[in-house]
Amino acid sequence: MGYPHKPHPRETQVLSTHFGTADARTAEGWKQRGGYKALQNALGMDPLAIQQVVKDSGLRGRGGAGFPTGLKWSFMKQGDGKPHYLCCNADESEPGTFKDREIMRWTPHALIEGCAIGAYAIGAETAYIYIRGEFTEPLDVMERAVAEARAAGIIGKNAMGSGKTVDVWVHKGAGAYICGEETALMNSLEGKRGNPRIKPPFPAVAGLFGMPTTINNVETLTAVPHILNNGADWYKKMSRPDNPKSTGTKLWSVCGNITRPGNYEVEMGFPFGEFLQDLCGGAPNGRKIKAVIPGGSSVPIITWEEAESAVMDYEGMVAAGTMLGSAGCIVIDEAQSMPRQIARLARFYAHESCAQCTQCREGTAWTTKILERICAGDGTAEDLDTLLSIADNMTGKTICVLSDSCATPVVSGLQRWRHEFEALITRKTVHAVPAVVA
Amino acid sequence: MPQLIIDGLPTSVPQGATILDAARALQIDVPTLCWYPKLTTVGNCRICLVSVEGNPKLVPACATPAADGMVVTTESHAAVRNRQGVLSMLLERYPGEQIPAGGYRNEFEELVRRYDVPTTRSHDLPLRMGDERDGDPVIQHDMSTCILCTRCVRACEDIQVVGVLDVAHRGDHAQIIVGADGNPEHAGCTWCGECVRVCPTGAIHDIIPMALRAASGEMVDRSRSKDMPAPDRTVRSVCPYCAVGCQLDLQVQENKVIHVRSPWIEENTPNQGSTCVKGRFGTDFVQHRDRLTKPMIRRGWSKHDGQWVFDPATHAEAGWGRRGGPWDLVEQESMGTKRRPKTNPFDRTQSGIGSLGDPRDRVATPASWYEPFREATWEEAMELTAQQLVRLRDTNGPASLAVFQSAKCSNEENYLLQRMFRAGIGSNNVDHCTRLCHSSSVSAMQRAMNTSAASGSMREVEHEADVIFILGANTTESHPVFGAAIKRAVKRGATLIVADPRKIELAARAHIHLQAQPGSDVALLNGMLHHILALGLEDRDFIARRTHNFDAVRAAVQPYTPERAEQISGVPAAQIRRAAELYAQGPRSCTLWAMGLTQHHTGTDIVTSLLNLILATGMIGRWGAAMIPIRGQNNVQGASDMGAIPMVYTDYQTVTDPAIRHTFASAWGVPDERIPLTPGLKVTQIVADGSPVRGMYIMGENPILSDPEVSHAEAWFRDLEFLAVQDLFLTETARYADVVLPGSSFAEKDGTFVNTERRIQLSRKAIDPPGNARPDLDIIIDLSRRIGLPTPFVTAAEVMDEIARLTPSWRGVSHQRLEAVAGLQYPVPNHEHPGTDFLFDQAFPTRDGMATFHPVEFLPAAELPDEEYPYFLNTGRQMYHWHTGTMSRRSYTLDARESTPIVELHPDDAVELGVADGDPVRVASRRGEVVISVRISERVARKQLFIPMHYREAAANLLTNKALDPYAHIPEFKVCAVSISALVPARQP
Repeated sequence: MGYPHKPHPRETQVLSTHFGTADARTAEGWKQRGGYKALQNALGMDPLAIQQVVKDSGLRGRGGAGFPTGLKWSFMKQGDGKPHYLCCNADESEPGTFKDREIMRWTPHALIEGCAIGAYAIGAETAYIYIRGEFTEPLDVMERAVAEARAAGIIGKNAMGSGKTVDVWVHKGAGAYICGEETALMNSLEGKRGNPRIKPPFPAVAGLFGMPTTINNVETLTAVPHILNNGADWYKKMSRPDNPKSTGTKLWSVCGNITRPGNYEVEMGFPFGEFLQDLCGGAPNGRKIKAVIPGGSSVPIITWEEAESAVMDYEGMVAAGTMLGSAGCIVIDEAQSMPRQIARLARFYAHESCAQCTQCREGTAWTTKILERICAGDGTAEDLDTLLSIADNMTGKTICVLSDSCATPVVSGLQRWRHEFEALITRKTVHAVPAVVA
Repeated sequence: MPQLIIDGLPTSVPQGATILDAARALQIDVPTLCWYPKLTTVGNCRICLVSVEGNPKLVPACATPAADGMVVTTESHAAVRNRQGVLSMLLERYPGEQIPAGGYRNEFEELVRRYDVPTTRSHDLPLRMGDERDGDPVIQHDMSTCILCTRCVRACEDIQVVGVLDVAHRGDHAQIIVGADGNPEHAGCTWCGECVRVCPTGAIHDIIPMALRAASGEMVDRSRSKDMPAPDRTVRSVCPYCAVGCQLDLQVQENKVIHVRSPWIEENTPNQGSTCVKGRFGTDFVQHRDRLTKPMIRRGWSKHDGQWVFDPATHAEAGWGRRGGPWDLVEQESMGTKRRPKTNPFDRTQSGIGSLGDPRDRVATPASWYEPFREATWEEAMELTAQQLVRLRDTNGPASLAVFQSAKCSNEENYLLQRMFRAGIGSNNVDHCTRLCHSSSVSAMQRAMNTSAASGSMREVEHEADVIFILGANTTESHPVFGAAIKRAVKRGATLIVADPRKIELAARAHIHLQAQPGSDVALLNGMLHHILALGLEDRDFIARRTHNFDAVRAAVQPYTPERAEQISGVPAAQIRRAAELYAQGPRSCTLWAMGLTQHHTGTDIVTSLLNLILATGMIGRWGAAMIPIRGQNNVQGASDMGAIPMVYTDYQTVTDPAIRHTFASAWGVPDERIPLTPGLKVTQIVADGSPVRGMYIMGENPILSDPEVSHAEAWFRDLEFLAVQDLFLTETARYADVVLPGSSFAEKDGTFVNTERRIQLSRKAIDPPGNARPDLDIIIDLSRRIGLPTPFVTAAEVMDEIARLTPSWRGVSHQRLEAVAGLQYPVPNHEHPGTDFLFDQAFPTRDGMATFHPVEFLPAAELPDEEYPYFLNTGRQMYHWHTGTMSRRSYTLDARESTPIVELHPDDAVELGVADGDPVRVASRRGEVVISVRISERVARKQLFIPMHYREAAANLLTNKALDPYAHIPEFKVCAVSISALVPARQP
């Protein structure tokens, strides 16, 4: 576990090694810890060779979708005469997720190094780090670090004396969840309203300012220097023997009804039940875990039984009926009312919908209205069917997946805890222990 | 060419086309809400989702490129279910109970019916909200029916390039807002109504019919402002205002035009479906109560022994001077203090229709103006007119008569009137307001390349030009639909160079704004040509192959170094150089100009220097390199083409050639000698001291306000022996008439108009003229026959057939053809010819096919500021008004937007004078003075004033200088010297 706690022995620390070490925040301190070696080497390599190493490592996007990073980079057409851009998505807004925040707070130079390597690998001279507006402390840290790196000649027109231009800029968002969606992020970066764009064209063809663009998550880019330093094989080994598709370490943010909340870094394939019970200490106050949202609020909610046997990698989570997502794990214990939790999630999405697509704009608000009515004890028998029908309309039909994300907890929650909804509608009590009022 | 199958039909479409494009080409109706032709595709309504084989998800037809081998089903089960889902979600926040049972009122409700979606709602969510436009007399919002398709936002931004509307907030709070504070005025709204046009639910709608009903005393409920009367029929017409020639659809109910709609955006019209505020909301003057409905004869005229005689005693008894009445002269009226204009006429503290009062009372004809007249029968009026015209012809000679024709009237009417005057009276004293607008362009273009019209088309400017050079044309206000096209061109990437003494909207958007001193254009343009030659950027091949006399111009511009041009014009030499380089390097540069160049006593010289620039760089005769003098009136081009000018017959065939005269005389059935071989007098020569003209016939012009030096013009007209005026209203000129003949508006007759790109368009009759008013053509035919000229026509179509016979470049034009097409750009030499979108690709219409350079030297304006009159005065137009205001000031909307005369004054000068916005000031020149309200504006440069020409109560032309251009006899409206003084005690700055 990261700062302020001591790491658990079963963790594998790669990205989180220096969490809590103030000295690692400076360029000098970072260099002393092996920093910027990877960048120095990378700038002497062929960009395609860097892409190959990343491809070989099996690194996949850590923002939620899990798209193979090396493959994504290879979509950028080298030598097309257009300016390329790298955007680092540091708009970490997914409820339950706070891993990128810690990376930026403690190891800003790791991210700068990752961005610089990534930019160079895709033929870009400019990388933008788009940080969510509420992250005031990480923003401060990053801005200081970027200024320091630029002053030290690590980034800029002649990055590390290589004669190559790789520059990194920090951009502050204004506080909208949707700007974490990559095309909305680009719109926001361009100074426009942060509405997702229709695809095609895909960002690798026409992205930021209409130019070929790659968007990577903070954690993804931060892993790249380690892969270059230690080799693809080293990274690939950190996986289940029977599943080479998920490799490396993963930062998990754990919160909710859990004894030791915080960030944990474990290898892909770690057993989820043990993780929650042993590393995180299980539910507090001797209560039992009822439900887990393993990958940030947008993934299906699973029961403790489903979670206990799950394996912590992309495929393992799918097998358990959910997704790894952003690995923002929200734990819900038996004292909680599921309808109330789900209503809270829906309210979040209704508030954050950019309001472009009909289904999302109307669906998120309507869903929230019904759920809150049910929680208030004013639900009707038809409401549950209406909810499912709205959720169906909201799934797979919109420009981005915010709409789907709102429908997911509703559908998965109704599948597993329908009785709780029905009890609220018929005003019966189902909780073994009295429900805690949120 | 991707090949795909849609609903079982194989098709192939161009690369880049979407599934929706492909479906539309197959006439498959995929429902859309947010999609609209020519707007950016946003794909947000999600109703056009279709199934594509092999694709697990539905895809948006509007945003998905058609790909080879695609198999698309537009009405698959999943697609239909999604549509029902979308519609039911939208209905959840829509007043579905208002949808008529079994029917629908708009595009959205039509889809609700088509997909059979229940209109009951659960009331879980409130109706949508958004900015309303309280108190706006034209555009109303009912945002409960908004479905947030954002068409309005994009129409405002993409088509009009204004950007008043936007989406604010997010989630279910998202709503359409008007500017940052809900005030359209602050957001730069121009009331064009583009948002009204594109709205699929009527959430944004106009209330003109409501306003009209309210004005006629009907009780109207604002909350039911969408309950519009249903039109009986729709008639395609052409806008009566400017020369862009927008086509309009007039919706008619019970002989009233209740709505103006614009044609579908994809139709081939000059306006591509857009209009400006005047076209959409400004044609209600047609129904104004001031319309003349009966002929009127000046009291004192009576018939004795079969002869009409005038007894001046009746006037003397009433205490009126000769031809006078119980009214103030324009000059006297201009001396009264004007009410302070509001910065925002739509004061939000007032609200509701009618807050502006009865619009008919605002600028109505005062009752006293009718007093010197009596109502008459048509027989009386026509008999008197014919008798007097014949009497003057026979006693004083044909040269004692003159006619002012009208650039507001159709080609057929103008043709017949000049025919009547030339063949019936025997006089070439035929002219119209082109004299006051583009006559200097015509004289310069005639001299250089024997042409009198634009070489290209407006769509070249929008789609093809690399550089657009606009001089002295405030296009976004004077020709707003064309102005928007220019703004779209700039958005597309064209370079814009604007030469204008004022910082007009286009100047603010321009890459280079050449803000020259008034009247210094020759120096500026010669300076540009000097630099082009210095760099060798001229088109040597073009000069050698297609022109004469270049060396003379090369020598003439030699002294005009950019530095010298800077000294004269005040434009920095570096800017002159940059503009010259951009223009010459094009590769395709369009050149546009208007009154800012022409209305000078050196107008012909100024246009000539511009033509030299065009010819030296070869920026003509190619698609994308157009020369466009932007014409003003809706038919000023046509009236000129029809020979409503003193020196030519139709098609600019000279009156001095006996052979041409013979052709016309024999066609008109009169002996050749009836028509003189000498050109007649021009407008400014007719209204002049010592002019031989004693009697006049005026059709649809108001020269007393539009001629320079109003007080002189007023005195001159009062002195005439006989004056007949054919008009819609009792204008400032008609006040002095002996006979007033009530004519017909554009909506009340068939006829053709020619727009600024030579496009002949058919305007159709929608309603009958009010009362006993007659179609203008009818009046002219009747009068022609009464003065003895055989005139065997009944309909405009028959007149057009004679025009076509006598006009080589119109030979292929007929009403029958024009019914079928959106207009024909002449030359149309035969009935199969499709028209000509640009000219001069091979040769100029001169004898040897070559154009000729004419060297010109800079001459300062005729009157320059001095100690006594230290300010420049510039005159011109406002967006909301039209010329002398006869039409526009009788429009509810237009008058609501601008109701008071103003003078634009630079803020620093205002501080110096100690005046604030709205304060009355006295502006005086050597010729007259007016009292007028100040509008502080940074558009004007220091020590320069701008007064619009529309207001009789502060007539700009009391001040202007009638110094004339020696070739075209156009007066110098654009420059004179004035003084300005505060009328209230100076305020502390």
